Order: sequence, then C-alpha cells, then structure tokens
Amino acid sequence: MRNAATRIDPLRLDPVREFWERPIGHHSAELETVLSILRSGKVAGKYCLICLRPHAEWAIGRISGVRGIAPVRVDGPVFTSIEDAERYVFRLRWEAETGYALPADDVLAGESAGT
Amino acid sequence: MKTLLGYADKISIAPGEPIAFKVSSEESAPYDASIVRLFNADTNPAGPGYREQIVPDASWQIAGRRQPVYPGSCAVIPAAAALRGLQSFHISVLVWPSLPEQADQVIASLWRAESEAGFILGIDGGQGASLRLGDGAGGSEILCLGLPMLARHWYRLEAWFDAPSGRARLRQQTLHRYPGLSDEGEAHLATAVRGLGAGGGTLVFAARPAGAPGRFAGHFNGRLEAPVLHGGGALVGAWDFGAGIGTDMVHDTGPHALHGRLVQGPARGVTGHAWDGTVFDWQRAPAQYAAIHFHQDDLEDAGWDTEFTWTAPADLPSGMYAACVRNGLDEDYVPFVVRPPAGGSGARLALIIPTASYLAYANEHLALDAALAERVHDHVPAFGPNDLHLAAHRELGGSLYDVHDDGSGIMTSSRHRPILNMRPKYQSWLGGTGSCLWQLPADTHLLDFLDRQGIACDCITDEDLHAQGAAVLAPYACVMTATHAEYWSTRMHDALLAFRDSGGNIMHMGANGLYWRISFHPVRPGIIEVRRCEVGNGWITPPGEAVHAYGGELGGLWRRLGRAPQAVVGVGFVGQGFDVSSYYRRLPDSYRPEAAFIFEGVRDEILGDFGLIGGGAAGLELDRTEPSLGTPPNTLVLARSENHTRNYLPTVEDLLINYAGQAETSAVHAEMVYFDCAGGGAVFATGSIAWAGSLPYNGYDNNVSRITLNVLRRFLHRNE
Repeated sequence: MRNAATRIDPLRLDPVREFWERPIGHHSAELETVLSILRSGKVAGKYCLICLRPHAEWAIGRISGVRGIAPVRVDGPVFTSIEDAERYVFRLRWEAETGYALPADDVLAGESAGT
Repeated sequence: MKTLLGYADKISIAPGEPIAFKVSSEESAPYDASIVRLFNADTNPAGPGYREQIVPDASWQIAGRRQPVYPGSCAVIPAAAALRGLQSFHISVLVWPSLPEQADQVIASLWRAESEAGFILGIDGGQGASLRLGDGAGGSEILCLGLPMLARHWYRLEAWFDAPSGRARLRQQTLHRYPGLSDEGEAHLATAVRGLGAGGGTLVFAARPAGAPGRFAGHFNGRLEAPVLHGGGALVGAWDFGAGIGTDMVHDTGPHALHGRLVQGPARGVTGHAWDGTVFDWQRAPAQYAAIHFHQDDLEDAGWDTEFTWTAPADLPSGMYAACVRNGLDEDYVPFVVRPPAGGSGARLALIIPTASYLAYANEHLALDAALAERVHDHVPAFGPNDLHLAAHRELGGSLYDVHDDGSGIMTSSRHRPILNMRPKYQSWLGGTGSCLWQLPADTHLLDFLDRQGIACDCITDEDLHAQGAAVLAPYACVMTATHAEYWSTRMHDALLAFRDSGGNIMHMGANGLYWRISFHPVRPGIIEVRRCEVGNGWITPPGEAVHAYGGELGGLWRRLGRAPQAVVGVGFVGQGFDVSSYYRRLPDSYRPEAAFIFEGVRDEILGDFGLIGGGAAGLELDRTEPSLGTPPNTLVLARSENHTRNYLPTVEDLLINYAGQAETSAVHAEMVYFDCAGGGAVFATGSIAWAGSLPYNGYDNNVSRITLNVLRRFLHRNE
C-alpha cells in the first residue's frame, strides 16, 4: 500500500477542474483515477447525501458502517443542486487525502478543463 | 423516521376480490387511508408530474397502533406428552456457528420463560457451549465451558442432566482438528437443581420461548443438524433436518413423531457436516444436506394484524393501485395490482408487472452496507427518508442482494413485510441521475404513457404468471415486459415462451430481463428464492448449494441453464453503469423495408438523447445481441447505443479473463432489435432499462415514444 500522501498529486488541479465542470457523467481516465482513490474508503464514516426534499435539497451525511445505525447528517450547507453537493464532498475528501486545501469554487469553476 | 408502514396480504387481486392491509402506526397515532390508482409515480419536476387518481368509496379513518416486527428464525416442536414430563435428559446437536462471538444464542431449549423451568443449551459470547437449568421454583444453574468456537466449523454439543442427583455435564467436541487450538472439552457440575419443573414447555431449536405466544429470543446464527433428545434413557426425538427441505416442516424420526415447524424461514437445502463434495443436489443425498441455517434476522412474515380491507369493485379497470395512508406528518403507499377478470378485460395488451423482481430488490441495503456502491454508480449515494428508516430498522429484512448479520447471503425475499423501496415517489441510488427511479416507480412511466395514449392495458403480475401459466397471457395480442424484469421462475419463463411461440407479440421494454432463475415458495405466495451460483451478485452461493430448496431446481443465471435471454427476446445483459444514460444511433437494419413501420415518422439518426433516467434512453443496465447465446439469425439490429461513460462496465459472466484496459475496450452498449417468430408473432426489444424514462419527454412526443407506439400499434393489430 502506497503512502496516502503520494496517491494523489495535490498540485495537479486539472482533474479537479474537470470535476467542477461535470461532477457526474463523462470523466477522463485521470479524473477517474482520482475519484477511485477518493471514493475508496471503508463504509464506516463514508460521506453520503441526505435528501431533504426530493429534487430540491440535499445535505451531507456520513454512513455509520454499523448495521442498524442510520447515516447521520453532518454540519454543512444545504445544497439545492446535487452537483454542488458532489463538489463539496470531493473537496472534503481531497483535503483529507492530500492535506492540501482546494481553491475556492469560483476559481475552480473559472477555468474550463474539458474532457 | 417514518411513522407509517404497511403491507398487504396480496399483490394481485381480480375485480371483486378483497385485499387486507396491515399497517403499523409507529406512534400509535390515528391515520387516514384511501385507495388510489397509480399512473406516474415520478415526482421529478422535469417530467410530466406525479399522477395518481383517488378511487371513490374507498377511504377509512383508523385509530392506529404500533405493530412491531420480530425477526429471527427457529424450529418449534409443539408441546407433547413426551416433552412435558422430561426431567433427566441427554441432548446432542451438531452445530456450525456463524457468529460464535455473539452472546446469548440458543441451540435448543425446553424452557418456560415465565417460571424459568427447563433447559437451554446455547453458546455464549465467545465462551462456547453453555447449559442453563431451571427447576421452576427459583433454582437455576448455568454451566459454561469457556471454550471459544471457530466460526463456520462443525461441532457436536452434548448436554446431560440427571435430575435425582442434580449432576450436569456439558461437552463440546470439534469435528475438525487444528494443532495447538483447544476448542473442545467437557465440564461437570453438581447442581442444586433436582428437576426441570412442571412440564408443558415447547421444544425450540435455535431460539427459546420469550414468554408471549409466538415470540422467541436468543436466536442462533448458523447451522444446526441432527438434534437427538433422550429422556430418562429413552429416545424422545431425533430430528432429521434433511427431510422436508423446501417446506416449513421439521421431521422427527423418533417414536413419538414430534414433528415441528419452522418460524421465519431459515435456509434449507444447505450443506451439513457430512457434505463430501461428491454431490451438489440435496435431492440426491439429503443426508449430506441435513442442516438448517438459522439467522437472527430472518423475516418471512411480519405477521401484523389487518387494519382495513377493501374489495375491488367488479368493474374496476386493471392497473396499478395502492393503499395510501397518511397521518399529517408522514405517508406510506402499499402498492398492488388489480389484474383483469379471468379471460382478460378485452384489452389486447398486457403489461407484466415484475413483482418477483420487486421482491428481489425489496429493502435493498447495498449503498448502506457496501463501500463499492458509490464506485458502481460513480456519484455519492443520496438517501431519502425511506432509506434512513431502513438503515435504522434492520428488522424489516433485506433484499436478495444483501447479506444476513452473519455475512451469509439472503436467499429468500417475502412481501409479507413493509417494503420501503417498492413505493411510488421513491428514489433509488440505482436509478442513475434525474428521476432516480428503479423498478416499480420506473415502471409507471410505461403505465402513464399507455394511459395518455388511450391504449387499454391489463396488468398481470409475476405471481399471476407463475400461478396461471400461459393461459393468463392467451387473451392478448401483445405482452409488454417492464423496465427490469430480471427474476423469472421456470413457469413464468415457460409461459412467456409459449405465448411467443403460439403467435404472441412481445415488447421487451427494459433490460437485463430473464436473467436469474427463482422459485416461489411451494405453498405460501409472495416468497421467492434465488441461488446466486457461479457469478454471484452482492454475495455468491456457497459450494454445493446451487439447488433451490423450493422445488429442487438448479438455480443461477438462465444463461447458464441453457435459456439465455438472447434466445427469447434477442438480447441479453451485457453491462451496466448507474451514472448518466446515453443515446442510440440507427443502424442499417433500421432502413430495411420490414423495419419501416417501426420508424414511421422518425427522421432522426440519433434516438433518445433525452430522458428522465440519466438524460438518455440507453442507460442503467444494457442488453445486446449475441448469436452464440441464441439471438435468432433473422434479428434486425435497429440501433445501438454509444458514448457511454467509463462507468459502463461489462457484466462479470462475460469476463473469462482480466486484462488491463478491459473496460475501455469492452462492447458495453444497448442494441434495439426486432425479429419475426415462427409462430407468427414478433419480438421488439429496447435493450435498455432507461428507455421508458424517455417516453415522457416533450409531452410524450419524441422519437422514443414514436417508435414505441409504432411497434405497439403494429403488434396490437397484427393478427386482426
């Protein structure tokens, strides 16, 4: 197992910009590799979305990993776009994985990466 | 959390038949109930909108009471004279614990909870075998060996009690040997107990009576085999769990015929201690399958009382209906189908509502339990109120994709319990993006479409098809399958083939259909069994257990059983992804004269680049032709999907070897096909689960709805 700090190059932001442009759908191989790492955690504590109003509002939650204990909503904003919720979870995981903070949303969204 | 939950005694009724609804008002608060007809169960604001219709003269106000669920299986031997007088005894049982570290698991009990009289042979919290004795007058002793047992290994447990002397003895013997491991031994205890009190207790294997009638506690997880009970030196009973596989009966070979019954459907047709790997079918060597696998979370029937009943009016149109219960804060729907009267309603179209497939996914917990779920659909799973309730209430049982608490696969699924994902409005993580629908709510896209087009359609459930066979399809010119009709019993399969081969027309609207073989419970409707042989899915069937307990058929994929879906409807499962859907591109076959009717009024090369399920008509699970699996040589491949995401991966049964870049080069796409059949009918298949989600686009006026209508009109009037 490689050192977690070396699994993702925290200075390469082009896959991140690609994700910001299209969180769900066609992804490059580079972005898929990053996503595979960020999503490879155990069930316990894994981020999920909690739908507060169908097609309208989502919050961030964490899966307990324990049978019989429901996911719990965690502090954070209520999203009116599921894509924004995806970006938020990506940011949390990126920062936990690499130890580096990502630039602000508008900065990441400002530079189109294409696919 | 939800405060209203319900289920019904039936999933299909004919006009004039009653249906009984069992509802739990979790806070014992009053609620209103009504019957509605479901048309569009999709709340997506991008679509035509949720649509239900109230059925007149069918509403109730109910006081409401909480009805709990008590899961956990066991075998119950009713009280009998030979058991009542038991004082001194010897019992022997073969035991294969699957959660040996868990406390308070009962192997066998003859116990009266109210007086604490009798005995309980159990295993206890990693301490191995234990024996509790009670004289019913306050005298009680517990003997525990303190010898941890290995999970999933066979042991023989034996207990002796001599009432006059109070001497007790307990032995744990392993049927395996590992050097350096001490997991067997024996202990003696001189107890003050001098008898087991007044008899009358019921003998229970894998649990103990909990006091209230029909209630049990201390459920055992694992397999038990060949319990033998002696009393005062004479044989009381010797139970052969290899007899009666596929039934709820437990057979006693002893002199008193102390036969019993199973509670909450433990697994049978599983290997016992003597399985030697030379037979793979319990019918050929029942002695090697003389074990029953009990689970503390088995649930076959919640057993709730009826809260209200309704009799469908004789003139009620066939369709999908639901009992809707509301209390001001919460609501629940209990869906059911009103099938046509015997012989049909006169409609020339029947839609098979795939209730067996609904059961297969009933209360599915994959995204909660499996870390891979997020990877499978390439976005973060979103949970709604029903998911959160299911997550906190495992007593409602899982799906055929889930595992029991002990990690063994759930092989049976019952509708005699609330099924929180078989609901209108329910959004599933399996449903991709957009409407996020899977199974029942997704199938209402078809119902809404047909209703808006004014096309009369009878709804027939899988249970009807299984029970009545081909006769139930005989009145129809065309039979339509739903978005994901995946699970088929042999009788269902036979019926569809007979319909096709006798001149019927089939519109196979979804994908990954006709995939897994199931069996229905031989006696009790609404319970199905699957064995996930060879390829698995969520779990895989253990060696030697490929044969269904219900009926004794070999289980697995229909493809492995010689009836690949390609041979029935032209296409079969090729791969899946659960993020976004894509579109089809027409192929040269679509321009042949014999296909002209399908594309009448369609000028587009690209089909279905829109939709409520992932934004395209080709998505979620996809089918394609495969001549080697039986696609008829006269099949026209009309269109093929393309440009799927990297998340669309080939199905595992097509992977004969792994190699780098496999996903990039695999041909995962949907194929839309048409072929004429020798019987005079024809088959049209879309090859995609998402197809129906594109019907509503642009007010139901688009190339997907046009193609569907063109085929439907031809099929309905083909043989007139």
